[in-house]
Amino acid sequence: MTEPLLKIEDLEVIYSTDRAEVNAINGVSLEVNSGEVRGLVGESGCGKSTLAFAIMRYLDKNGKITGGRILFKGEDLRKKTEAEMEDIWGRHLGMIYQDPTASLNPSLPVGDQIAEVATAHGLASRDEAIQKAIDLLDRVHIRDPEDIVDRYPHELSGGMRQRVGIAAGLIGEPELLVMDEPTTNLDVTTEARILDIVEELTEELNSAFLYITHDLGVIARIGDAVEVMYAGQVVERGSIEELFEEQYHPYTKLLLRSIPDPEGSKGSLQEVPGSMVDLTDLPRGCNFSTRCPYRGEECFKSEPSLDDKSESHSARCFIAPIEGKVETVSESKDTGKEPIGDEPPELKREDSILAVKDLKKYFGGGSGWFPWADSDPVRAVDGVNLDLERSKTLGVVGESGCGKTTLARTIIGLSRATEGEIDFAGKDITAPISRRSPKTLKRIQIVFQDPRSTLNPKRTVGQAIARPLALHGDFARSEIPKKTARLLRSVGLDPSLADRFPDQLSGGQKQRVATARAFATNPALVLHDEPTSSLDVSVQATILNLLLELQEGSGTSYLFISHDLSVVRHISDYIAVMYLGHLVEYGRTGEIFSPPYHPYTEALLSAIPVPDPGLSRKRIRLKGSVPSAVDPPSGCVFHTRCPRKIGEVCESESPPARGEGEHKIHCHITRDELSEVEPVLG
Amino acid sequence: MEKSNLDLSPGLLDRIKNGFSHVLKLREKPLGLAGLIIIVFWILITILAPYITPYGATQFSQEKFAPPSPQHPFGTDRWGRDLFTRIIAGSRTAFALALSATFLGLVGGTALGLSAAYFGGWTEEILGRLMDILMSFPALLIAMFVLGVLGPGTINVIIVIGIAHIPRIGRVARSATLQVKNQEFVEAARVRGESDLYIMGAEILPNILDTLGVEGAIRFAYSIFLSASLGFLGLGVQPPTPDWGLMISESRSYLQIAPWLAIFPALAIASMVLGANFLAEGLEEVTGGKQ
Repeated sequence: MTEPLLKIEDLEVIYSTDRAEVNAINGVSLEVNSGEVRGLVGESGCGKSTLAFAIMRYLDKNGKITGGRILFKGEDLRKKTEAEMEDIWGRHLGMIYQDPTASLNPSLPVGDQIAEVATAHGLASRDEAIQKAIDLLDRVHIRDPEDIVDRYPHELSGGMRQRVGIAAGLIGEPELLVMDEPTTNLDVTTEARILDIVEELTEELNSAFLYITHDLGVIARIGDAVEVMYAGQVVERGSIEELFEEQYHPYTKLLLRSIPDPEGSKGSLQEVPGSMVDLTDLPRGCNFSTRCPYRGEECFKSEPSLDDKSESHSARCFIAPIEGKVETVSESKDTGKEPIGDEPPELKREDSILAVKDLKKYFGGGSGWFPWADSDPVRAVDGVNLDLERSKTLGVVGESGCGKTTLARTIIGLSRATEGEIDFAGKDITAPISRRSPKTLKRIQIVFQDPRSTLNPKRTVGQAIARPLALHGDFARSEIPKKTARLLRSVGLDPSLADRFPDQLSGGQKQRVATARAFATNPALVLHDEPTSSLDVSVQATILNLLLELQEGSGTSYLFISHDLSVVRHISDYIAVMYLGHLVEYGRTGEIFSPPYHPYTEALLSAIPVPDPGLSRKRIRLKGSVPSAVDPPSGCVFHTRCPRKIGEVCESESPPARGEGEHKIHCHITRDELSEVEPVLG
Repeated sequence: MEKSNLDLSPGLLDRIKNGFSHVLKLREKPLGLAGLIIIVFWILITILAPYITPYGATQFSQEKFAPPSPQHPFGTDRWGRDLFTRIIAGSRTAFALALSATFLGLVGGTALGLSAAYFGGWTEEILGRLMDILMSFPALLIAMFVLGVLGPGTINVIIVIGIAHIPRIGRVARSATLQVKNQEFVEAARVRGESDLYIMGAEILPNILDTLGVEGAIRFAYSIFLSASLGFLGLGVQPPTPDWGLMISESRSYLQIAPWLAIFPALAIASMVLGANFLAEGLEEVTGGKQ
């Protein structure tokens, strides 16, 4: 048994704030060996990023390591001086951040920034280092790396910047690379490619990775072992195979089940009850005891230790192993939810609630003052046709920049359609908001993406919900408080929260309030623009359950926009796949997830991280990144990246819709040929 | 089951509490605290003026150019008026002028800046260029010009200083609005069909009040300074009203024999301007301030 590369012993970190001391890390011990990818997962606030920063000695000023040792190659990093750390950073120990923009200098070409790591350690001359940077950029699949090295960070897309950050982390060939959610802000297709690179590097260079993520699917794909963190402690640790096979700690068990299964279907998701324990005031006994559905008396009395359950699997729990099947706990159900609508709207299921006909939305270009300065417009949405039945959910998926958000904004009237028609319940409503009737306005609502900005910070929850009631309701003002309370209950919140301001709520609670606000006007159609993308998976599960429940009670139709195919599959009856402003495939959820696929859908599906390490899937990786919507490719917009391009016809003619019933694939390849592929998911 | 605390008034109460907590937080900012102390000191002086002034502000006496003494702590001027009394009485003039002018500037600047940012497009272009033009002249120059036409006087000074503040406050209001107007809660208000006036007043304005408060404190300091300058030039408040700028102006000819006549009003102006600026600095820190 050789000495581990990184060995952390009983690490403790405390942040001092105005109010109290935050116990961010409470005795973490872990090891990372060479050639190993060790995953570190947990909800936000569990201390996983703090751990990374502590290892790197990058903690903020108010953060302090109060105990333990960080042994890297046998030496304690806590005892190193700043100058000694500079020798280690980049060369022996590297870090890749979640936000690549913050770690790149905006005034230096990216090539120099990558090369700098090598030249600073005297590993190479500048020319050699630049050459190495070019090779590395090629490795991370950046097209034309010779050209890219001379570019500045602002000239690159987010995905490219992230890959530049990864190249800069790799050039010193550090023995250990700490990756803090490196793919969280990236599209699944780019993420899949970066995970490929991590795998290659462990094999070729015997590098070690400490891979921090909230996504168990990612870990299942690349990890060798995983540490599950909760409240600054490792609560479960095990090899990937064992941990995904059986979870000893209730937290791991619940967390894993809260992920929507890409192979699953509509239905309630497991929820993790409650929210992260207060780190300034940890409970006596087990930290998870405040949320644990299996807790016993013992759990409140003393703190469990991290005990071995098998040779490569340990958990910090008195109760484990939990026998039997977990009941699906839907926490919100116990709080006595009320149906959301006042009266069930007249349901005629087959009626179309929303019909979008040849919708186009171009930004900019055209009508400037000076004809010679006119530029081409950005074709954000370029001829989309959609149809949504009453009480159904249509999911819209695609990579960032595919036009899905613009589509929603145009439907709701925040953007003015350039061309085409939007019909709502048989009525043309193509006009922007200012020209829509109050009746139309109240019947279509939207729930936005960002819980931090979705509520007015200066208004209470009660005010936020009461306002649409006062504006559109046809009842006495004195009834508003009652109705507000009822709406809060129907989204699973206690009516006493009405007095709170948004900064006193968690992200999930804010999204619930936003949902209640949208439902206050009793809408027939609610658009959801990535409502769960900035939430933890456990919180996401509660929101998705809520949305399904609300739909069942009120018969409201949903247009659900997301980049996450698993989420969309979970909630949708129909799915539209968008690419570069065009619809490439449309059909019932089941039809989208089984052959025939559009080649783009197939690639998207193969990139989803699935929390099942045993699953081997075919890998389809797209070349390059999404082309510019100012000058989209001719013919089929996907031909520049299509792995199944058949020839010139793809470049010259726009593809026909190959349909069978409602399922339509826009491709030059015939339906029969498309049907011949193996299914991507089991 | 129904709870009475669903009543919507706690919002306002909390907002006031919130504003108060900003002031409390100033304790930890030495500069802001110093500013707060100076300003509170002056406010107390202003309120208590009639009780602490030993003489009348325009009360003549035979003791002309008396140097500071126990009877006249700051000395007397050429009419034998007690300077201590006049400085204290002058603080009322200064406050009245500066507060009114700042208020005028805040109302005008916020209305213009907020609507320019909110509507964008042509409205923003036209308003923006107008502000630029106004701002390209020194405020004092504009004030002198306008007062030259309108004639001096307290009301005219307030109007002129207020107008001189509008472009700067407008600019601050505009940039604060730009940060708020594309947030999702504003779009949610548009989606449910709120009027523009409601969105500007009820959704955006409360979120830029902190920034405007800081700017208001800075403009207050500037108003003191500007009104003193105008007083000095004889364009502001007219004698015999006690005004610090005017006092300095009148002291010019006697600098050699009675330097206290210039020193004490100058100190008064300086302390109030500095106090307001420090306070602005402190407020900016505790509110997370302006951009």
